[in-house]
Amino acid sequence: MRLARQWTSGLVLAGCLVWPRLSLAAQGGRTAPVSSGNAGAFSDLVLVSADTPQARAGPRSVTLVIVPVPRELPRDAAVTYEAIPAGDIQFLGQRTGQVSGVGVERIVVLTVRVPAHTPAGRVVAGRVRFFVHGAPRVDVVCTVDVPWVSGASMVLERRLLAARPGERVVLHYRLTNTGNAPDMIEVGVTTPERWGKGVLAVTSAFHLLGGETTAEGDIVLAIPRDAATGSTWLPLVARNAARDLAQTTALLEIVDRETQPAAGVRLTTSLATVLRQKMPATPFFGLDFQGALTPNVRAFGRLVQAVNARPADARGLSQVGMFPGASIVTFEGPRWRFRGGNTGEAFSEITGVNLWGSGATFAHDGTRWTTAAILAKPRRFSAPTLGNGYMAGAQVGRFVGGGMVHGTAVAADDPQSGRRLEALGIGGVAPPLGSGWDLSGEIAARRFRGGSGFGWLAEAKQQNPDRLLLVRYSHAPGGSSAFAPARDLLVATVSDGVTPTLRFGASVWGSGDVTPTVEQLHSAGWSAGPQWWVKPRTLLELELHGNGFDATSASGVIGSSEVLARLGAMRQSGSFLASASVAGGQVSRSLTPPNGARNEVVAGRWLVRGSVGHSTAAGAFEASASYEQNGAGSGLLPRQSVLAIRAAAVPLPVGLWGATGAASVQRYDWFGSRPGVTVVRAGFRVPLPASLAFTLEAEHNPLFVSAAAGGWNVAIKLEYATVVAWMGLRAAARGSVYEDRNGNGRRDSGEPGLAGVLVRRGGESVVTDAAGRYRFLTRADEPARLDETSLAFGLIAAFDSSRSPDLAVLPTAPVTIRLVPTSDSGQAAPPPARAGGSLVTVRVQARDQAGNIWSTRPDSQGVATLHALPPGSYQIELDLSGLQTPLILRGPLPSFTVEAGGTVPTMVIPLFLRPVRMFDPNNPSRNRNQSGRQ
Amino acid sequence: MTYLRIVLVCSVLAACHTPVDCAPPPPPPASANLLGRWSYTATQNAPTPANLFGTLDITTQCGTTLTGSLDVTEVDAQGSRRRTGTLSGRIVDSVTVDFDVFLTTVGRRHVGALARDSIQGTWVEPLDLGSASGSFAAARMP
Repeated sequence: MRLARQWTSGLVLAGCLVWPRLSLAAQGGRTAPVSSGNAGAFSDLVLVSADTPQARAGPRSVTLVIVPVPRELPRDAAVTYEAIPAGDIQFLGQRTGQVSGVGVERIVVLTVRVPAHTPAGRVVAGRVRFFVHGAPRVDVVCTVDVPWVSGASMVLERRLLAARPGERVVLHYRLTNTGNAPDMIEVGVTTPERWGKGVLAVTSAFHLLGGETTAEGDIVLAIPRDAATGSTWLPLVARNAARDLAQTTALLEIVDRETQPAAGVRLTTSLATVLRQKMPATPFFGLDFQGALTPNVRAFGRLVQAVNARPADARGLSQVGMFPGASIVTFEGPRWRFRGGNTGEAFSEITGVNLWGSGATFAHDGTRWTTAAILAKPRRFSAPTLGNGYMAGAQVGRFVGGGMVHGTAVAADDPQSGRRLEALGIGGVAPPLGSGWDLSGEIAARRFRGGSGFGWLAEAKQQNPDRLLLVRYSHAPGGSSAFAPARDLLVATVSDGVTPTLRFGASVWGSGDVTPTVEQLHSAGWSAGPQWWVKPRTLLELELHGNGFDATSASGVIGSSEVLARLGAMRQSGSFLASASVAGGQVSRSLTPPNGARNEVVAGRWLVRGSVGHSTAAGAFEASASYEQNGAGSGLLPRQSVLAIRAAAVPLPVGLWGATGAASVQRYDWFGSRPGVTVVRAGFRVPLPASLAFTLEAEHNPLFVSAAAGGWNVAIKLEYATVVAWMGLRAAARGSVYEDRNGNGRRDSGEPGLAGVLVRRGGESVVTDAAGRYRFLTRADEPARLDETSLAFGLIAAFDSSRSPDLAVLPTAPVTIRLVPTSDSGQAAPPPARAGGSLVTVRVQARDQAGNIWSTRPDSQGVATLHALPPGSYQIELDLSGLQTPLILRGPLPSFTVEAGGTVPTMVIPLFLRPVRMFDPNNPSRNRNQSGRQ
Repeated sequence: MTYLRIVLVCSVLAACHTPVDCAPPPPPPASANLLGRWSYTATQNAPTPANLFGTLDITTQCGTTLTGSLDVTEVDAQGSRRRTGTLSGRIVDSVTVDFDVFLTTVGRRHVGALARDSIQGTWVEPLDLGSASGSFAAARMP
C-alpha cells in the first residue's frame, strides 16, 4: 500500500502510454527513483517509470494493456517482468515472463479484467516490475480509464396493491444505483389518463445516490373517488438526466366500495327548498335508498314529496338532486328486475314505445326465455281528462337454435294525450348468418283510435369491431298517436374503419307521422364524413349533415331545412382536452299560411366553437367560446356569442374533508339585437358531523322571465345519510389476515392484523381493513385465499389446510451466508477468481425441519442471501460441484434458527483449496473424502 | 397544433364578416305590436306527450323582427323540469307570427295566428331522429 500511494503521487504526472501513442509517449518518458528497500544494495533500488500505460475498459469487461519495457533498462539484456495487481482489477493469464530482443520495441501484453463495481475514473490496475540482473528494478504503473456507466435497479415492496376509490395507496420502493458513479435519479409513476394529473399526493421522487448504494422511497397516490373498479397497471420509471435506468410495474386493484365490510343499505333522507325573491318557499322531502337486500337482490328507490301544494320550482330542485314526481323503487337480481312507481316500457316500434305511467314493470332474461311486462296507469300531468286510462302489455321470447322468437300483446289507452293502441305481434331474430349479419323482423296487428292496420318492421345488421351496417324500417299505422315513434321510420347507418386511424361514417333517416295537431309531418336527416386520428390523441373530422321537416297543420305548411359542413379538431394531452370546430352552410325556412302565399327565405349560417378543459384531483375546469352568424330572415338572431367558464368538483379549503364546490359563468351577447345576459351559477356541498351534508346551489339567470329574474334563485338541501344494517347484508363469509408471529397457525393475542391485503374468493375481491378484517357478501363454496403479491416485503402466506377464514401470514427474516476461500494456514485466500474460480456457481440451500428447501447462489464475492425465511430451524447445505477449481469443506456446515421478528447473524463458511493428491488405490475411503461435492 | 391554427384562422375570418344589423323596418303589419309579456301554454303530441306552461317575454321588436325569452315548466310522464331559452322570429303578416325558441341548441319553430291579444298555432322541433310537434297558445298578460 505504501508503494501504491507513492505511485499515485509521483508518476501520474507524466503522459500515459497506450498502444497507439507508443512512440510519442516514449519520447517524453522519465524515470524517478522513489523507493529503496535497502539503500546500500544497488539491485534493491526500485525506480518507477513515468511511462504509465493506460487502457480504457468498462465495468464487467476484459481488455489488453500494452506495457513497453522501460528505456532505462539495458537494451541488450533479457528483461524479466512480473505483473502485480492492486485493488479489484485483476491480471488474467500469465503474469510473469521474460522479454528479449535487440532493435525492436520490447513490450509486455497483459490482460486485465474490470469488475462490475469498479468506480468510474482512472483506476490503478497494478504495476509491472521489470528486472535485469545487475540493474535497478523498474516498476511501471498500469491504469485503466473506466467510463461512467449509469444504471439502477428498482424493487417494489408490493407488486400488487389494493384499495377502494377515494383512498390512498403507498408505492414503497427500493432504488439501487447500480452505476459506477454518483447519480441523481428520479422515480416517477404514470397513472391512468382518466385519473387526471393531480393524483400524486406525496412524492419523494429524487434520490442522489452513490454507486452501489440503495435508498428507499414512497410515492403516494390518491385514488379518485370516481375511479373505476378493476385492475390498473402503474408503471414506475427510474431515470437520470440522460435516460431511463430501470422500470417496474405495480398492479393496483381497485375494489368496489360496496363490498367493503362497512357496506349496507344506504338510506338518505333530505329536505330541500328553493328560495326566490317575493316567492314563498315550498319544502320538499326526499328519501333515497340503495343497497343489497340479500346477497343476490339489490334495491334502490327514490321518493320526492312536497310538504304543501304550492307549485314547485322544478329547475331549482333538480340542481340539488331532487326530481319531483319521479318516485320509483327498483329490485333487481342477476337475471330479473322489478320496478314500481313511475316506470315505463318499450317493446318495439309497432307494439308500443313510450309506455310511461304509474305502476310496475318486470323483466326477466333467462337462458332460454325472456319476459317483459308492464301494468300501469298513464300519469296525469294536466287538467282532469276523460278518464284514467291504462297500460298493459307483455312480451315473451324464446331462444331457438341460436335465434329467437317472441310474441307481444299490448293494450294501452291514454285519454290525456289521445293515444290508444291494441296490438298483437310476433317477431323473431334469425340465427347469425355468415359475415356477421343478423336479421330480425316483426309483424303486428294494430288497432288505434280511428283505425287499424298491420304494422311491420325489419332490420338487417352487420357488426364487427371495424364495421357497422344497419338498415331498419318500421311501419306502424296510427303513428305516434298509437304509441309509435312515427308512422313510418327508416334508419340506415354505415360506419367503417378504413384504416386503423381513419373511420368513415354515414347515416340517413326519414320519418312520416300524423298527430292531432299536425296532419302530415315528414322529417329527414343525413350525415356523412370521415374521422381521422392524426395522432393517438388528436382527432380531425369533417362532417356534412342536413335535416329538415315539412309539417302541414292548421297554421299552414311549415318547412325548415339546414345543411352544414363542419370541420372539427380535438386534442387530448394528459388531463387537458381541447376542441375546436368551424361550420358553415345555409338554412331554409318556408311558410305557406292558410289562404296565403308561400314564402321562403334562404340564408347563410356560420358557427365557430372552441373549448379547452383540464381535469385534475383539484377539480374539473373548462372554458369555451362560440360564435354564430346567421343571415337575415332565417329566424335566427343575426349574431350570437357565448363565453363560458366552468369549474366543478373543486375541493374547498374549509377544513372539512370532502367539501366540494362548483361554479360557472356564461355570457351571452347578441350584438344589439337584444340585451346581453350573464348567467352565473355557484354551489357547494359540505359534509357535516353526524352524517349530515348541506348543499347549496345558487343561480342568477336573467333569462328567467319570472319575478326573480333580477335576483338569485337559491336551492338548498340538508341530507342525512346512514347505513342500515339489513339482515340480508350479513356477510356470507368473514375472517381476518394476521401476522402469525410464532408460526403456530393460530391467532394469538398480540398478533396484529394486516391492512391492505387483497383477499379473493370466487369472483369477489376485498381488501382488509385497518384491523386486518375482511368480509364477503356473496356466497361461494371455495375458501378465501389471500393474494400473496399484495403482501409487503418479508411476509409470506402460511400454508393452511384447515380452510380457516383467519389467514395467517408469516414474518420472515433475511439470512446472509458468506463463503470465504481460505488457505491451509487459516488465512483468507486471495480473491475467488484465483482460488477456485467464481463462487457464483455454488448453490447454497437452507433445509427446514419439514424438508422444505430454500435455495440461492452467492455473488462473485461469495455472499449469498436468503431473503425471506419464515420462522423455523434450518440446516445449510452447499453444492460445490460447479466450481472449476475444487474447494472443500472442513468440518460440519452450520445450522441456525429464525425467530419471528428476529435477525440471524451472518454466517461465515470457510472453503479450502483441495490439495492435489494422487489416487491411492489402497485407500479408497480417503479418495472419497476429497470429493468436491459435499 | 397546425389544425388548431387553421380553425383559429377560420374563426377570425368568420368573426370579421360584416354583422347583420337591424335593417330599416319595412312597413309593419297593421297593429302587430307583440312587445310585452305573454302567458304561454303548449302541448306536445309527438313523440311523447307533455305539457308546458310559463311566460313568453317579447323584449324587442325591430320592424317585423322579434326577440325575447321563454321560461316554462315542462311536465311529462317522467316528471317536471324548468326550461328557459331565447326567442327570435318575425311577424309574417298581420295575422301570422313565425318564431323559434331555443330551449336547446336546436330551434323549436312556432307558427301562430294573431288574434287581438292572443296567439294560437303549431310548433315543430327537429330531433336526432324524427321531429317533436304540438300546439301552443299565448295570451298577453295584463
